[in-house]
Amino acid sequence: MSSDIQAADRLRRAVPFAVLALLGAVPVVSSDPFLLRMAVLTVLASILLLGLNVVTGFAGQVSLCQAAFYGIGAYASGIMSVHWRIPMPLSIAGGAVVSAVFAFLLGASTLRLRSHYLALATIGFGEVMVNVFRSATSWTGGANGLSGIPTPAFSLAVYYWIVLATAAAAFWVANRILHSQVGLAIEAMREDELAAESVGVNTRQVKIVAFATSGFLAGLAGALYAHLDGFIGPESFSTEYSILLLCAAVVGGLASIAGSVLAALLLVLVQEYFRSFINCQVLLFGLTVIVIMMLVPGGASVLFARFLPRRRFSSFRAASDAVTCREPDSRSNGHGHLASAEPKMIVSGVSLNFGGVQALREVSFEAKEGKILCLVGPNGAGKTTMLNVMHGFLVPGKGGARIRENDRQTWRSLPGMPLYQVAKLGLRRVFQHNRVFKNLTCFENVLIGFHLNCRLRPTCLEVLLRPSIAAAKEQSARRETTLLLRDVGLWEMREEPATLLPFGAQRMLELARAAAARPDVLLLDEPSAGLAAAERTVLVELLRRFRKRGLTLVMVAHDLDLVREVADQVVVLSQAQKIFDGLSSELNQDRRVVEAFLGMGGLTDARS
Amino acid sequence: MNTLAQQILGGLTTGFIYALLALGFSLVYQSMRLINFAQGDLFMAGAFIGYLLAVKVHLPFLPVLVLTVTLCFFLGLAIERLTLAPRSRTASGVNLMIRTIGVSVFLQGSTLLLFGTEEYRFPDQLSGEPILFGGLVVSRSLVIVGTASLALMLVLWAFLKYTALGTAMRAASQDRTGAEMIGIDVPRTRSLAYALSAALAGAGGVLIGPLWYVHQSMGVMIGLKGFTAAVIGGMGSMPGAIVGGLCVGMIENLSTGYVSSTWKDAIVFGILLIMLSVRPDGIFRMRSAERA
Repeated sequence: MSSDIQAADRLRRAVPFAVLALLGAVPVVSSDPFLLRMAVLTVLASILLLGLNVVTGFAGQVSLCQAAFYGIGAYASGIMSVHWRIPMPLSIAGGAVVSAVFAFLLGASTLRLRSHYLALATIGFGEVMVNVFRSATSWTGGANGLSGIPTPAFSLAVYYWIVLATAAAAFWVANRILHSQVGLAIEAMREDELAAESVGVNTRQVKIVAFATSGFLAGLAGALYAHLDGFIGPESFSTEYSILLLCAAVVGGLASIAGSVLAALLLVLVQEYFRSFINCQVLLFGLTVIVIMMLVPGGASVLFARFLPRRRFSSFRAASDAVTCREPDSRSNGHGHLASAEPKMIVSGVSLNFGGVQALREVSFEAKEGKILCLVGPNGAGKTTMLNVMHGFLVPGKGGARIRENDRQTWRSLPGMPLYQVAKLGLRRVFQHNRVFKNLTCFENVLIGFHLNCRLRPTCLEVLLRPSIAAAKEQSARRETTLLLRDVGLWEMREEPATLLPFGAQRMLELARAAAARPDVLLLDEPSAGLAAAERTVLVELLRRFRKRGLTLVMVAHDLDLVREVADQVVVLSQAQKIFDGLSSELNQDRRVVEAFLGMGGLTDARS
Repeated sequence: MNTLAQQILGGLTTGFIYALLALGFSLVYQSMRLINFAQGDLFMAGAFIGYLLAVKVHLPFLPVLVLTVTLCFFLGLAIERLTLAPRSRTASGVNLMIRTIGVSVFLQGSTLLLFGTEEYRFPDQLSGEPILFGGLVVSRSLVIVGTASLALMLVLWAFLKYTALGTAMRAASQDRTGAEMIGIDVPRTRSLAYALSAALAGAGGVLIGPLWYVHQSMGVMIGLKGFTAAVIGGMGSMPGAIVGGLCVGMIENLSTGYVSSTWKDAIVFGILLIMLSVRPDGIFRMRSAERA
């Protein structure tokens, strides 16, 4: 069985080399300049589409201006060589860099935009650029195009090989990065920005870098294109071409590196047909796109998936050596008395209004290190709001929430802090409505939990330059993931996308993800809601194990049995105010608590 | 002052067309969470249908308008049923969006096959003496285009607001599952939304036909500008779409008049970029930032 898998793996890994060899042999087989030019265009298109795939397929930012970056690269390189006589290799590199800078700026200024707004902003940018190409006549040659760009002195075949080598390098880097844990973080952002941010992914940075990378690749392709014919015209970089590119990328398969190559092939074929037959080809192309999208929503690369390098993190290799049980690391003072425990988080005088409604009024409490604090109260008492303040993304009108840093005695104020920085402080959150990364597998969902752990997640540079270190880290991360999945009983489901799991299992998956981060503080919102009895048992077991490891838990709970089972400290909120703070055993005796839960008067006439 | 007012007036005619397209974008987006890239090509289809009816069948203006709107409605219906509805429940937003690109290419391709790349001249049914109004020259086409578009929008608004089907459509656009649970045929409301937006686009095509030449790729830029108008106005807002459309038309004409027509598109889209980075949810903000 495992040897079968290994053989298949080896086959998959050989595919890219076979494709490269095949492409490299084109000039040897035929010296037809038309065919060779087509081959160059195909390889250029694959670079262009790889860039688009990075930003749209992996990072999930719909970009409709890839052709504009292609144009920026082409014109920048052309202008450098025509007007300033800069030698070709430098002008090509320059073209790529200029395009990357533009893309960086566009990415940075559209950070806040989502889906269709982003799509439109990119269209707008593309149109502005095309207008510039067409109208800045003294630089770009205007509608007549820019001619006189030096073409290479060597033969077209050599130029083709250079282009091919450049593309191969770009694909090698992209493949390394995108199929590593770094790539996983990018995909996590695409699936759920907030959840990615709360496992420590700096989503703003990732978005900007994704844009800049895609701009760089497009610019590179554009610069190489400019020197291919020695002539460029504005119509090659229109928004229609950008739309066509996106179309090709989706038809080829988003978030698939091999899909970019397939898409490039398709695109160039179609484009050439466009030119040679102005009749029903266009029409057929439209129909083909529709039919493919209906029948193979994942794009053409799905059809070849068996032969392509695996995108997903395979857990097979981890399965054999993951048997030893993990030592519970006891940095805790877990068994001490509540009063003697050190405070880990302090909430002081928090007041918060939503419009006219006061959600929290002067709430203060301390969460002790290594203890489980339960926030209890009737609906609308402000519990989730409190948790949002403690997680940092709601800023209260008055007061604040602070966390004590791990080794030092410094306190950091949380409200308003970006979520990925909150994550860096060792604070994690399990949301009330599950926020698993739907299209990632269960295995990947847990693996992403190691994002901030420098022992278990390689950096970009390590992935590229020190593969052995990267592999070792990834292997350890796999092992840990395996253990965690077994802990929550989801090992059997490891290769399934998280969206297929039932509700309770998704909650368990999210708990495992939070546990992977080895946080110091874990915020939970109604963790037992909607769980089956067996899952609830696992949950209680997990919570106790977390406490044993020294974690501080703050948990909103409706389930009073759960509170009695696990809570060390209970804070009761009612009508935006704190009405009780103490041990769970004292809860039943407090008059105000009984009133709040059972209504005015309670069972006995408590008012008298 | 007078020239400024005149410039603004000059932009309103195309502004109304953009508004019609923006309304269509908005309608489809609301009902299907979809950016319809074929909107501009449906506009082009409307222009060609109108051309055929006016030139080959020799119908007068009003029947041409009514017939074209009806035909475009059914064209939209057919497109939705055949290309978007199948397997739409599991398809992602991007998937459906690419399908509309396919439709756009298909429509352009079929026009290419039937009419080639030539430009066609509409019979001039609308021209006449311009009207003087308080020192301003109001062209007759503006009056006709404006009246016709406003009338269509009014009909659409009344339909959405006062008929059972319209209410069902609005309900379905807010919450698909909820609407289905109370017995609304959601696939039908989706088809209807698409067909209505096609009808609006078609109306735009007929109305602009006499002013411009009709040709195979006339819908591309218009579609983008209509989309721009919809986003500026705030996707999903009806008054927003109208204001957005008129704004784009005016900005375009002002930049032609005061800067130069070569930079017209750069100015429109540049303003759009600035606006998006300052106010990401459009003028008529529909939803606030959502978190958690």
